[in-house]
Amino acid sequence: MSVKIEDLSKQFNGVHAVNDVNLEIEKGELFAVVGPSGSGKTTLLRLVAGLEAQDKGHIYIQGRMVDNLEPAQRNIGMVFQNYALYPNKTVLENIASPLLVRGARLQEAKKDVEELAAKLGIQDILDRLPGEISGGQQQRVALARSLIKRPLVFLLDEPLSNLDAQVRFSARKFIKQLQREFQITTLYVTHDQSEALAISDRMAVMDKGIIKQVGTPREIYNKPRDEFVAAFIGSPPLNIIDVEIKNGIAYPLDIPLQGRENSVIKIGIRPESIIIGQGYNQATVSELEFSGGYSVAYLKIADIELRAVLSSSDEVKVGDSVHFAINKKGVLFFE
Amino acid sequence: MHRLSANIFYLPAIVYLAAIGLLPFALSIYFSSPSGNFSSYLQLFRSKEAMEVIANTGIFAFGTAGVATVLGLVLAIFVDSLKRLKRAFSALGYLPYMIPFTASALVWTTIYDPIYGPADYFLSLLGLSRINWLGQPSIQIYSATIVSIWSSIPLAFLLILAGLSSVPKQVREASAVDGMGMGEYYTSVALPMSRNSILTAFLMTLIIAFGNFDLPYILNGGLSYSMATLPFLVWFQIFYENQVAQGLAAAVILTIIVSVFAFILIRVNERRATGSKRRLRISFRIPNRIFNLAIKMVTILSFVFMVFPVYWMILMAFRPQSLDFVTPPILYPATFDVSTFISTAVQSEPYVITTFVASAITMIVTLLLAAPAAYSVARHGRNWLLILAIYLYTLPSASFVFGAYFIVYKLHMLNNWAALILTYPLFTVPFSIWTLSNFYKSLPRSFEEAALVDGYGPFRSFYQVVMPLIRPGLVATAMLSFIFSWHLLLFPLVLSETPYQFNFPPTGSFTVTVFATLFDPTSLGSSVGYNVWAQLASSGLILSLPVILLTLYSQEYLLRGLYLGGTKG
Repeated sequence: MSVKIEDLSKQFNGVHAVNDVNLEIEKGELFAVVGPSGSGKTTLLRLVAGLEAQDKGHIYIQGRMVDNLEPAQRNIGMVFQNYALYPNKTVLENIASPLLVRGARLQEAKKDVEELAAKLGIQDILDRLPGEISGGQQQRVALARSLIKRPLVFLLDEPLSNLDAQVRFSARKFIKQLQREFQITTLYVTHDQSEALAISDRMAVMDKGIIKQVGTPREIYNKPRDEFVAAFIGSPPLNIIDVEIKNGIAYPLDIPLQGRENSVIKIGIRPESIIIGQGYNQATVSELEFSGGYSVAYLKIADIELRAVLSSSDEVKVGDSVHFAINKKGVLFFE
Repeated sequence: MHRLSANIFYLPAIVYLAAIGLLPFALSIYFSSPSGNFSSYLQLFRSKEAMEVIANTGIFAFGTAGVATVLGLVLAIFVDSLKRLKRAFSALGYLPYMIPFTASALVWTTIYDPIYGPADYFLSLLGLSRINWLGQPSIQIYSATIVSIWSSIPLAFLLILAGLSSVPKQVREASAVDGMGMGEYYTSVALPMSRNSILTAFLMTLIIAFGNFDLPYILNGGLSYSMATLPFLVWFQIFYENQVAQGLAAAVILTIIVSVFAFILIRVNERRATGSKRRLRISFRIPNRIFNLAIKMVTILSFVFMVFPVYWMILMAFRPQSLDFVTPPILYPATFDVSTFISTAVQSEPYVITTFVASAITMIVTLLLAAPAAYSVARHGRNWLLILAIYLYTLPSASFVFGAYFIVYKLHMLNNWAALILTYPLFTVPFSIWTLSNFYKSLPRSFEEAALVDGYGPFRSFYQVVMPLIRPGLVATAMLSFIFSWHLLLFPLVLSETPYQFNFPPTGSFTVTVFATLFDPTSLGSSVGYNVWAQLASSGLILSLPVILLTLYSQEYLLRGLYLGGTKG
């Protein structure tokens, strides 16, 4: 086990930012923590980094308790949301900074920096200042600065949020590849659930300081433990509706459902599990949103409105009356 | 985590401020009533003259702050509403700021001259009767207040302009899209949003006027009570009449008055920092055309008022004396003669050397003390230090002058550069802590966190990562410290006896401000009389020049420093 977090709690002005969190991150794993803003995910990361002191609980990095260690002694690398590159130092000096602080000479450090910079594709900008390079390059410099000292754990705080949407895709893949190449245990914090699903080996969903669920992206997506996780993960967002069980059918939808007759229950339906043009459900298309490769249709049935994903080959218009079926795998039940 | 090292950051500053600020302050209180029976206070309150002085101080301070804030507000609205030439008009707006109080007062004594002065000439052009501005007791204090307003408008203008400029661009654009005219935009949007800046401008000009020794001292040639304010009375009683206890009683009363407004300023500053949600509601509506017209009229008149004395000073400095004493006064450049300016400059050499050495060393000491202390305020949560700094900054030099004199006397440093170097940081360290702490606060914490993760210790992180990042703040603070020290009058006047003697170890520590007062035609015992206006103007110009050059050279830095601290050098 590379990182172990035990009964960790931190309050700010009486508010639990992190509330009794337990986590185990395996060696070499890319572990994402995702949650809405204010969920405590960044605080969790900062506690691991040692930038905040916990009120309670313990943190172990490769079996060593680091509770009382300074950030620099914890053997971590960290990339900040705004990268925090020293604007008055060149790229070379920025990357070498953790080595220089430990007494290395710039000439000695230079070889290591150049080698690492080549791997990150930034070997040509070493004598520039951070203000003179692009956002994507700044991020690579920040990555290089945190990797140069070969940390045991790599901490990334919303590393993609300062990048343009187009660059974000390539940067995401780059981080993933880098992480795999270095085999480095990584804790990755983001508010973007699709980013977490795409990049992580395993992930945790956080809300109000509490870990709601831990698992692989597939597990989280397919078997969300509760309504919060189900609603937070997935895009377009999950449909959450009330249905009434009548004769083994979830009225007003045509889904077979076992349960107490005549009781109203809450279910979730993934928008991508609604298949238009089949089945016995009937609805009116009330709105259409075109998104390139697919479209989102809003289906009105009784007083319920469902989001459904259409392939771009489906030809429907607003006002059309359509049939649809629901793939049972995409139906989620909540207690 | 780093309790000890956090304390080391502010320790030097607090030791210094305690020794040279709090101790003199305590000495002042103690010696104001050494027997503990407060007889000096009773005597003061029974004296009709002292009551007159207290009333004068009120007229002077509130008159200055009220009018300067209103005019500064109008100028700020004018400059803020400009699309082009903002910088040029800003420069006009802070022109008097570059003229030290001492030089301003000197120039104004000639403007107010009952025979040859342009003030009366302008009155006669308007068909009004002549006024003996500085001679008639019933109006003397108002004449002094006008000079004070003149030198205070720039500070009010700069603080309010900064407030108006901080209204987000989108808000301004939204108001334009909504069809708001200038009058509506300013009265209903911009002014309410800049309320704290306006309040700060009023309080700062008020506090500075309460503590202003220089202007009344120079204008008050006859040492009459009808033009005296409290700081002047403090000096007069202690160092002229030798009535130490009574002078100190006046100092303590002045300190108490200023403390009230200092307290309000500290509260406003906290609100400015946290960003108050409360908004001032202004319900009056002025038609746009009238609003525009009024702003422009007042702006033009204010600019004339602000520029003329500077123009007059330069005019007098570079013309033969024969052109000064004619009626009506000659208001245009007729000839150009540098002889007086050069001879005065040569004469000023020992004074300039003293002032330069004292100001430069003060500047360095200030940075060494204030830079780490301000860091403690911004990052280690030492907010009490900020409150102490703001409080010490607002206190008039008259609150400390006796105690400082006492300490310097005991250390056998009177009439020595060391006396100035020891005491000057008392004025510069507090505002530097204030200004710099705001610079640090505007820096994202992630730089220091990255440094921490990289393995920098607290001190190394401070001087290798943080200091380079706030270089603009350090430059602004250094410049302001230098300018502030260059301006000081009361302390060098009291702590010195002669000009620098060109000897070693150096003796003599009259500063260039003291030099300029030698040409004060109204001053008691001044034998120079009427024939030295060119010298007077030249000395004023010599006194102002370094400040003008520094200001022009580092305008951007200074304006930012001013906004974050809010100071008057």
